[in-house]
Amino acid sequence: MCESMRAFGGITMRVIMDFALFTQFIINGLMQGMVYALVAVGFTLFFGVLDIIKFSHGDVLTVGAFAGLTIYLIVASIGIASPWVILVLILVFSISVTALLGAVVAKFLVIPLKQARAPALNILLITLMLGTALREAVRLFFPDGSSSKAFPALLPGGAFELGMLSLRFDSILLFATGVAVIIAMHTLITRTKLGLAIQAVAQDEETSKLMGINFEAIVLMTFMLGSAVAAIAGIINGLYYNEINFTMGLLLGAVGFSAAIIGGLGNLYGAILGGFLFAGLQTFAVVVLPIPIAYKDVFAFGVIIILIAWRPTGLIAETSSERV
Amino acid sequence: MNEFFLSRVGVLVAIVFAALYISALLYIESETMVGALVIGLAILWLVGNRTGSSGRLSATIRKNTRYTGTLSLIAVITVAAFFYNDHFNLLMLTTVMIFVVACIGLNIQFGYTGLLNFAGAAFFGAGGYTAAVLTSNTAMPHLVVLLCGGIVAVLIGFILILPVLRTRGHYAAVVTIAFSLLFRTLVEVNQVLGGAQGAPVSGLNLFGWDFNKNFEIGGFEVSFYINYFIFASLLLLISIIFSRTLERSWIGLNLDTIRLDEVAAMCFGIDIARWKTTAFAMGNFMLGVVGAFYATMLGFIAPNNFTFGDSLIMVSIILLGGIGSIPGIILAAAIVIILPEKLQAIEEYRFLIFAVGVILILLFRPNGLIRRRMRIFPGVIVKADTSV
Amino acid sequence: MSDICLRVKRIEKRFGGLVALDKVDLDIKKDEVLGLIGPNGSGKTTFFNILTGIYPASGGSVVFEGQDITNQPPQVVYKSGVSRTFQRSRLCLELSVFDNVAIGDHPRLNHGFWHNIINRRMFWQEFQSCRNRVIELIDQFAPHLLDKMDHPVGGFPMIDRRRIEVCRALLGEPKLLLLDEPSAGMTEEETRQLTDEVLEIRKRKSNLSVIIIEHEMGVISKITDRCVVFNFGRKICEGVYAKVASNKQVQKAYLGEDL
Repeated sequence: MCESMRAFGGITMRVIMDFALFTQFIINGLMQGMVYALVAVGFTLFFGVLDIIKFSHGDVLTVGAFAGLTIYLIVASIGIASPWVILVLILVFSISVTALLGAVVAKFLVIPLKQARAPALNILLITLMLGTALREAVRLFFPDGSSSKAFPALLPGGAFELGMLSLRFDSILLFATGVAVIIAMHTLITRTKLGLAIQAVAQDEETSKLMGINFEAIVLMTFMLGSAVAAIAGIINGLYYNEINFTMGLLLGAVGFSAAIIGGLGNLYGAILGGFLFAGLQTFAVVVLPIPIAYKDVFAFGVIIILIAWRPTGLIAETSSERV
Repeated sequence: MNEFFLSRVGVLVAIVFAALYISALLYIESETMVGALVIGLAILWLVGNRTGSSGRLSATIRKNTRYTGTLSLIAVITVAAFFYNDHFNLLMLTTVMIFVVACIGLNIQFGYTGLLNFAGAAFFGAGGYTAAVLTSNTAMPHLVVLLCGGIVAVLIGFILILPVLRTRGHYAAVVTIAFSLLFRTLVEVNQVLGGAQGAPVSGLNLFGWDFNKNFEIGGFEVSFYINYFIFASLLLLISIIFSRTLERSWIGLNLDTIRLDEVAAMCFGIDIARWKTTAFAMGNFMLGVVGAFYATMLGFIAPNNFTFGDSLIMVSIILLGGIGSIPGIILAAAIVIILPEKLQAIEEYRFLIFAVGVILILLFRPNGLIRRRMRIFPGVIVKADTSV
Repeated sequence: MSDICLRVKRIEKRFGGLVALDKVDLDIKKDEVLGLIGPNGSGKTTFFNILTGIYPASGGSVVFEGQDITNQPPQVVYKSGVSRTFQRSRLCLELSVFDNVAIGDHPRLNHGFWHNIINRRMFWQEFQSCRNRVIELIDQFAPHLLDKMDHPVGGFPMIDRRRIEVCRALLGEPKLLLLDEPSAGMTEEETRQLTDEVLEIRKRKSNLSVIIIEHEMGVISKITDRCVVFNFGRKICEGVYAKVASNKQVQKAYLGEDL
């Protein structure tokens, strides 16, 4: 998943490490944290409105990234060269695809199951299997889908040079995009009618129905929103590492899910913090701990699971947090 | 008396048919013929359900377990004898049995106790790697090696069980999913375990009998896989008897109660943590032992054998067969393992097909192909006129 | 002191900012049937959940038969002799009548591996004695189920489920039985039958105290020795039914809610 991390695999960087490399790890961690946070936001939104765990979410991200790649290949073949136009097209297309996918899954699978009072276990298993189906569909039906695909570098190259510190333009842009998405989400949830309706449904399904809120429409909107954010996360991931593959969503899904739990499922800001916490733990493992780099996920998951065992309802106490 | 006789003949016919069917399925090479056989069975299945003969048959089987068991054993031996020198088909049949045992273990956790374990393949692999290390580096008797495979899986399980117990509801799934995803990393980086390339495992040798040697019986050269086949049948027999006995015991009652209503279970004295831990350990032990055995049969294992996808396949077998149902597991394991091998056309698509299949089963037939018969303790029905 | 079965002192329960139980004191004598009444949300079921250890209390103590059971886990509370039924019947619907009732015998049964898996002869002996106890209870409270002991509980009407729950709760020979709204979801005729059955329990089982939460005042007036009224998590009144029913505060609590 982190190809650029792996590039450093041969270097022994324990206590003594040069400053440039150190900042590179920090930036890498921040980017990774942003992607995790955006995935975790989806889990927390779905849990908020429907009390369900939608496990196919990570693979929706994969679908979004591959949809972006597809439109890039088409656009490039008809000769549009402006990277900004291509970027906009990629974003619009992949967001539309995942939003549609999210809506279809909600409309034809999740809502009917919820209404039939299917056990939570069945919904978890069905979405888990749906994730497998999506993942396999990408592998089988995307041309040569089983091998990693190069994702185009569309953002301007170059970097700020501040003494020893070197900040790549593309990293700054991607991180800013992530921040913008989070701010937009926050505004949407707290300031708009749709957001208030989502909050109402999350608080109390029955009452919101009585208040005249169209429950199904709100759930569909929430699923579209969460899936769209996943697409953005997928594109950010692709643009940053310049590589995507069909299994990318699997680990991202597991990370996003555990980040959402640690943030107190249903809590938007907790999920974001959870995402950055996970990436922070990974970075800590790489920079400080004397363990093989490949074990950074083992370490991060280990700590997160211990935290979940310690505080099963999340690090941020449920009562004081705003349920989305 | 007549009816009794007829029903026993029915069981006999069914078992002979099953043996012939599985032999034909394995023997035939043409994919069209295999496809026809599969469709034929599906039609027979539907007809059987429609006319109620499946119900009658299963009722008879339940009433005559010893008779059915003996016949099945004879059938298994006959099928093995038929393929006595066919490496490939013996390997496949043995693999099916190994997966059945693994899924019976998983079923104690998931089907009885309701404890989700998405790391079945990882515990299976833990057993396999234990066998790799112990057979290559020590002279430990191989029977002990198999047991160690189980013990290592149990010990790893003990590390995971605490967060599983503490986590509310089905969030516990994240613990085993994370372990399942990370197992590969753990093994790949570890050079003692052979890293990404994998590790060799020696063939089984029990009491001086080398499992990896062909041998002769009355002038016939017999495939060495017969050894593994017989041992796997033994493991299968033991695990079926164990699982059935467990189900019909107070422990089985505790596990079912915990799955169906934890609050009620607590309020009537059942220690949830104790029994979940026990069920987790029992299942992992079976997974570990049979994983170690599988490794000795393959002779070589690699991290790729034990991925999250493989764990999902194990869960799929249970869901397709019918949660909690051992006959269901046997049928589903046979389908899931044999079909992709015989039909190369679907081999590439198997994960997709099984995933969609499981979704459809969960939506439209949540009890699976063969639903679990709940335990009925003997002598609990009191006829009105003989009441106490 | 010795004739006190259960002594609850200043028990408190808060959920976040909400006070569900506010320093409640309660004593029950041996062999007493106590009615627990009060409007919805007055903390009656929470009270049961704290007694049985499902929720930890925020303060106060519970002493049962001279033994402090405050905040003990439910399985320990059950073993000490407190048993209950649930407002929304909590049976394992997939399991048979026998299995559901037999769970009540849990503390008495041997759960060892050797006993359950290997030494089946001993297991079946123990099973027989458990079976006899189950059948004896079913014969008392639901004889028409005797030839349906192998049927899954999910197929029976509510009244039968309640009876099965009562049998399950009595199998372990508790000294205190908590009945949580046994008449919920039943017709008048069924409620009357149930009332008779509770009276029957009383007659047959000596040394058994009962606390019953009930909305049907007919049931309460007929079977209780004494009543306690909860409102907003506080005990507002206590005494024999006739006295409680004429209490102004109680009337206000009920009427204030109804109107």
